[in-house]
Amino acid sequence: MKKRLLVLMAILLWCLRMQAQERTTSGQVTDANNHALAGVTVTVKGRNVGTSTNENGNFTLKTAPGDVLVFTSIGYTALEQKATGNMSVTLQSLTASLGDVVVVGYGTQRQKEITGSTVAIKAENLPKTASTSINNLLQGQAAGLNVDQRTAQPGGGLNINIRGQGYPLYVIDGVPLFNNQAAEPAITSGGSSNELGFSGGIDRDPLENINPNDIESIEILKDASATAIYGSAAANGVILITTKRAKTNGVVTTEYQGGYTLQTAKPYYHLLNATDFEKQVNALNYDQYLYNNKMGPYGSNTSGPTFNPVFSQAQIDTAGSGTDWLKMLMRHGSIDQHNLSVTYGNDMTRVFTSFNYYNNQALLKNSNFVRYTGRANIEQKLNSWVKLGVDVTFSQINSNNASSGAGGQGEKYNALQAAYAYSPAVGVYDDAGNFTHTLNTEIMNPAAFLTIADKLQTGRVLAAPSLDIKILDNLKVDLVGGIDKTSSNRQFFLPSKAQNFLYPTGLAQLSTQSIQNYSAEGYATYNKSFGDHNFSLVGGGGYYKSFNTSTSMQGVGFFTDALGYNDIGLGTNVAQNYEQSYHSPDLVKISQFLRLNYSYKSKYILTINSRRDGSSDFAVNKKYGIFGGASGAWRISQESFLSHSKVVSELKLRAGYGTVGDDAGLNALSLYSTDGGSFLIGSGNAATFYPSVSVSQLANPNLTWETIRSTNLGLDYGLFNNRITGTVDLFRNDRIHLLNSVPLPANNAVSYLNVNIGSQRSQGVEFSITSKNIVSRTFRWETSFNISNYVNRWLSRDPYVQLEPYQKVNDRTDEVYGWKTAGIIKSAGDVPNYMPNATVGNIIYQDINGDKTLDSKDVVKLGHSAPAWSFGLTNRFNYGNFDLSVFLYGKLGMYLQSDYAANGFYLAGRMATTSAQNSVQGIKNVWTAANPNGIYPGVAQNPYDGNNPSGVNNFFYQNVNYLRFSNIMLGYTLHARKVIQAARIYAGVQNLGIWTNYKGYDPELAAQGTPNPYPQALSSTIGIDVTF
Amino acid sequence: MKLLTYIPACGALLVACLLAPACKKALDTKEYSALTPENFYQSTGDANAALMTLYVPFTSNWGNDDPGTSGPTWYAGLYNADIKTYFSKSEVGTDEVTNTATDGNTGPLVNYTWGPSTWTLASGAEATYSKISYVAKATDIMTAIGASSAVPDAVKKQYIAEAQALRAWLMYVLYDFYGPVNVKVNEATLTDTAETARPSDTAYVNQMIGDLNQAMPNLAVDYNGDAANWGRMSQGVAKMLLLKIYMMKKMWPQAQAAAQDIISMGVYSLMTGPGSYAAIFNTSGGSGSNPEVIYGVPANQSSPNFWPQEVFPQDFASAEPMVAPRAVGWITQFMPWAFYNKYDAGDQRLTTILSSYTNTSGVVKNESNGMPGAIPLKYTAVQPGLVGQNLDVVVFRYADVLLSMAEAINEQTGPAGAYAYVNQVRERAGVSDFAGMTQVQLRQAILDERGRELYCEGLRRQDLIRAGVYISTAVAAGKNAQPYDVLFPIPESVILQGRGIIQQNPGYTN
Repeated sequence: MKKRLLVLMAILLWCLRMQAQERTTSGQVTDANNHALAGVTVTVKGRNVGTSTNENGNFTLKTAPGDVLVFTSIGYTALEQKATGNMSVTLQSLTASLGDVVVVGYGTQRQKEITGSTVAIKAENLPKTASTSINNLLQGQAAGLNVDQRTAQPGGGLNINIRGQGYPLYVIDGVPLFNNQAAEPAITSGGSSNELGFSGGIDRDPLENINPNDIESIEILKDASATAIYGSAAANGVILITTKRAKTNGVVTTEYQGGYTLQTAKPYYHLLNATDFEKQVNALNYDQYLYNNKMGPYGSNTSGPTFNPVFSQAQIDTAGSGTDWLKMLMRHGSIDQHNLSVTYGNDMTRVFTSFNYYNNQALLKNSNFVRYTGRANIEQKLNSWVKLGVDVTFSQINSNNASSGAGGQGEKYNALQAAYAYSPAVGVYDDAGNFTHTLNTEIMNPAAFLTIADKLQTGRVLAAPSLDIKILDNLKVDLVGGIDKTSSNRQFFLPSKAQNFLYPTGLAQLSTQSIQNYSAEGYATYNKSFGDHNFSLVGGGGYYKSFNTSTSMQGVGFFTDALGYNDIGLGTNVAQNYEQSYHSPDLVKISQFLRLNYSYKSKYILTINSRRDGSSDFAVNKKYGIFGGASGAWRISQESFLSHSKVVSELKLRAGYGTVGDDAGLNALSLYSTDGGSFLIGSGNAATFYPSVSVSQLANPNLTWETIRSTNLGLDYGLFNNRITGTVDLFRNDRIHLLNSVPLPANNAVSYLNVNIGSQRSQGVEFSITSKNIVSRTFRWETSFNISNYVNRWLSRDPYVQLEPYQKVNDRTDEVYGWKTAGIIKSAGDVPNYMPNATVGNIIYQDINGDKTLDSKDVVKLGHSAPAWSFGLTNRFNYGNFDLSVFLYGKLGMYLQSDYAANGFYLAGRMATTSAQNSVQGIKNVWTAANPNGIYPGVAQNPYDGNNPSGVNNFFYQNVNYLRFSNIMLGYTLHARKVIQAARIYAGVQNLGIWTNYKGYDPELAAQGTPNPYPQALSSTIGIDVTF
Repeated sequence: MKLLTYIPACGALLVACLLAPACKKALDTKEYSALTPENFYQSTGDANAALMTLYVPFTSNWGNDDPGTSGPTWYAGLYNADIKTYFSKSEVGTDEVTNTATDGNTGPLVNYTWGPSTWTLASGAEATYSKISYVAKATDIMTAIGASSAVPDAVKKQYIAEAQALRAWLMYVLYDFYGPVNVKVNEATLTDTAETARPSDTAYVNQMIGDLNQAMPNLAVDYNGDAANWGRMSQGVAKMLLLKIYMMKKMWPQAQAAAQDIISMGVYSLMTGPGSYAAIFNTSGGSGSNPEVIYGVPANQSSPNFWPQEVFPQDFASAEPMVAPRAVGWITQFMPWAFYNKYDAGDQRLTTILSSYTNTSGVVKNESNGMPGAIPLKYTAVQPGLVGQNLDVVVFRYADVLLSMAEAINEQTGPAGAYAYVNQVRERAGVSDFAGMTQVQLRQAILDERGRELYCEGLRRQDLIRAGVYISTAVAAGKNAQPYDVLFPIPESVILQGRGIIQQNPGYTN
């Protein structure tokens, strides 16, 4: 206490002393186009004194002689300038300036000297929406980065790829996460890997536990000339994430952001109501009866056994609309978010701390996601040449999981599937107070799913201590450690009151999963200039280890529901109880890496990256790999013939080539597996359930990483004093020595072998443009647009694999093969002569080769599942203190199946049975004898289906385009003078609408193959952002 | 100078990083949760675990992953009640049992509209053909156990014999559905990448017979009454398999001799007395405690018998006095009334088939008010609280031996010598003896008797095929059955990969 008083007095004295010498400084801050900038923070370096500019860009501040003023404003490069009496200050816009410094592997580089294909994204330019993961915000933001939502559940997973390759390598604050995956344990069925649908698939993004508000910038390295420094793990590109640090302005800055989001369900599946359900069940059952007895249009019989309709006319007359099961599972959702950051920095110390609370009570009842994160990024200079640092983040996610996502059949349906299938004609409870049953009694009552307790707690610690030593002015050594540990703990209880078919006496599972990454890296950076020649050399090495472990146990048969999963030992059904544990093989890497940058007059620039990886993933004969890349750039705009151009302000031509690897999941050992099931020998108490062990993998001592040879040609441009900027890239990635599981003869004990064989080529174009359409004092309008495409195609294949007659060696990898259709047979006259056994209601397949036989030779290429084009469009408007941003993204030309058809909703058989399941309105279009104008296939089995080796026909397929109105956000900024430096209030709407020709629920989810999708929400947000 | 204090630290780390390749051991792949050649086949327990791999396909439980497939792929077991199994495909769609479901596994089966791409190996739907890899696994395991120095000789002989008998059984199952297929019985070819042609019928049959005869001396005579080992392969099972092969091949003298061999063992007999038919399937203490069962797949809650669950209707409440009130079933299969009506009134076997039941609304359902067929329950001692029952799945039993004996004799010498065997079965059922028939009449009568006696034991399809009426029966029921449907198609993927070396069964279009 005494000490604090002394400090306080010292500060007071110091302030008084300063006051004695102070004078007034005033001035105006403008941007490069000489327009006044309002709201620029002006502080005195090293002192807690500051102000901000008014709407005319003017400021007034008391200063002392020798004071240095720091000018900061969002979207502009910070500037330090010595205080004078009257100042005129120009700030450079961040987006326009190619003079920015961006993060590359093991260092930074000036943007204008970047030679590879990279995209730098400032977090502040991303949509300010309530999102669990930074990955959500990257959607549509960079050409060539494809981010697709896989599920709309809270924290839901995304499919991410760069240029159509696999999941990229993430590097957070310099620490590469070689083992980057979500740690949520699945609920298993009887100890096997088959997931029980009713437990709900949790599908999360691995970055869900990094607070997006902490992120300063993201760099996306797209081509091998840039990623080669990450070697064998960089095949799919690299995403570098840099978190925020304190500014060295000597000011304590406190920022609070808070927001509230209301989520309402977008229109979801339109199911039949009770009356329509009962009518449709009767209608299709009658047709099935005719078909089974070869009556009516299906045969010559004129009579058969008595037909018993499932529902009586009296039941139909009184059915009404019935129970809306989906509505019963859903509610309005909400997201509460609070983010507080306190930062302080001076010449010696920089401290950034932040705390985030994120609470999403999601659309499906019982699903919520509550996250707490904390971060401290601390740097301390010990003296002029030694700097210690540590970046630590901690997060805790507590969630409940509604049953959704991947589901099973019948008794393994999840809550959504049960709601689609359940008869709307029954209520929730019967007279005895038990859950009702639908016609298919193995399906659990949708309301019963709400009695499941499914808790998940995930904690992550990511700590990166570092030591930075400046040995000479131009030689620096960095040592960086990394510890990344994610642990999940899932507790699941299905009570007996849920009356689950398979586990009527209840089931509990407890499982944990842990994913760990450890790394230690050291590297030296040396810079040297001779006249116009600039060299920079980075060299170093690292040691990495990562692995995951899991345990799980199950108890079945509980005499009470009261204790839930808290006393799993009470499970009396000993034969169904189990325990499991797993420890993955360690991934150990020992690596050396090197980068050389050379530039001549900042005009001709060369970068060489290389890495040597020794890896435990590689087989015994292939322990080491060397990867490398080189790229060059020519800044044409620096040449004399362009340097005075009024039109071209920046023009840079880039070319690069490199090789990188993909070592995901290699294991070249000969293995025996215990996963082949167990067998019961004996009777009664003497019976033993013996595990089995069988050979599961053949050794391949030559197994090695896939190699990607990547070529990139790019152009960065800036026109009209950088009013218009952008890039164009052409790329080609040849993926060779593909890691393939090739088939061995089906009669072998092990019918596959992991080998490196075959190659694929991915090539495409990327284009981005940012234009400041209107730049005036009061009104600004800026547009960013990016569009990209890629085509993946086979170059060569495994010679052992015999291609189907419809496949060509160099087909695209996303080819959809199938039979073409020509409607359905509506009357006997429609039966084609090459389908003599077909009957009414059958699909007509086209005999493409005209040989009167439907077989593999009639299979054709129907379309491509990958989009022809992906694009994103952002518009930002500023008017006075108002700002407005509008963001849209979309895809063109994807060949997709209707997800209604994929879910089986249009199958006549879904309802043509006494155990009928409900369906969508469209099932009314099924052809029946009584509905001869029906357009969907009827109850009759098609005798030709079994001759179609592709298993696909185009009946429910189409070419899909969509444009999603993703986000609109309106903000108002207040410039206060006293305690509050700046405040912004904002309101916005996410997922406003989608324009699409898709005949299904959601083309984005469908393209990711998501069955039974978690309902999409319309989210309305209001929030405030205050800086003190 | 302070600088000096840091330089060693940095220097050491940089040197460590750069020279680290020296520590080669760190880069060895370490397995924690998998077995490798270094730590497997090191004990009798290991050998038993390897042997269990070959029993697993016969499980009563749903099925298992085949660890030797990429993925791996999950396949239904052979004697489970699921529609994809060998057992169900041998029953459902015949005159004995049918099903009105329309899903991709059931619809094509009951309507005879299957083709080479209907059930694929990759999807797991082609559960029976997938067992071809277990023949190769058996070959591998026989060799590996033989080579293991850790296993005592006596145990080694027994385990190898069990593996060899199981190999023959797997081959028999494949032969039943697909004809001779290119199984691997030679250790040297197990990892070859070259495709091999299908063997001749004779070679394939001789391989099965040879395996069974070779295994025979080292197998235990039987495990009936051995509570710890019931479910293992015995001489009784091997002899039964020989009988099945000879019957399928219509090698009547050999079939007669094989049946006689089993009868002469003196181990097996028909259960007799009131309620004895139902008791065969309900024996407490396991099916092996009953002298009639030659092989039963052991079942308890670890690996239950799901058949009753598959045949109880979805609105089932009770069928007293036979079945006490219990949970509803899955109604997949039922016995058409035409078949049910082939039983004489008072036939003891009817006590295991339900012709009426009370539904969840309290209505008594029967043929007259919409019950589509009888419930071929078979296993009547169902426990109300269980989904899967603790009742062994009966696979081979003595009644089949007697009926086969009768058939073999009738085919060779006519009815005279055959009556004695078939009538033992009829008498136990409480129905009158067969007498005064021609050979042709008795042939039909034995086929019907096999249906009544052995219903839902996974035999009907082969019985109809042997009698030459499998297709005609289906056509008469309005199905799309074609003459070539007596064999299922080889999966299209196998034919494609076989690039002309592996021939499709006749009639099918790839």
